[in-house]
Amino acid sequence: MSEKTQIITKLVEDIISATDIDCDISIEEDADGIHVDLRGEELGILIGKDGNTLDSIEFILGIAANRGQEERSKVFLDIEGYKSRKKERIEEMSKQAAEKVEQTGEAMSLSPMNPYERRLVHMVLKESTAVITESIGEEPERHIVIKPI
Amino acid sequence: MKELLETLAKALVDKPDEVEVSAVEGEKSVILQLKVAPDDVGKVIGKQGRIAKALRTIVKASSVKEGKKAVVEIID
Repeated sequence: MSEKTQIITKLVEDIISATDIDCDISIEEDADGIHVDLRGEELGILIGKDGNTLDSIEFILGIAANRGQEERSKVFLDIEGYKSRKKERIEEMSKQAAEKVEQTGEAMSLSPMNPYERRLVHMVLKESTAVITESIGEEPERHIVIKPI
Repeated sequence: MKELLETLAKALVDKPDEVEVSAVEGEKSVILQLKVAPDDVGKVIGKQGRIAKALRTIVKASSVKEGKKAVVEIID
């Protein structure tokens, strides 16, 4: 186990014990980064509204893992599969929105999203020959506009 | 909540031994005062307050379970 993974494992265990929540922790490291997966009851409070709490924990884990390190690693957190479901929803929604833009020939603004979610949309529609995607506005209102080519 | 904030703060700073959290308990709320070494203040606040915001979000989430509203203050 790498030093970063050890730091993350200890921190995740401490967070869980401090919040007094019962859950299974699985931590894996691969070429993309460190993947933390939590499964259990009553984890809803760690997900929060629109995944806000989950994103905050992931953000803090990322900073803690990379503190004083030269090489940066990404930390991915998922709780009860929330993020993988959200990823599927965003990908599906992006494709539908692109189809609509192609049919109507009119640009369409999506709801504000965080950088990770915006990146998903850009990736899904990267190969499209009918639309292009662009992020506009400032955080936290930054959002994607899908435009016909 | 106090323990959680302490855990998170210690993971972010260079001098974890100087992290102190004191809790001022009210009837329905609790104020958590976070104190870190002077050089570490930026590490718990972050660019545009992003770290402080994330800490508040996490502590607030855990306070729901305890039935008390938590407010985090960073002292410098």
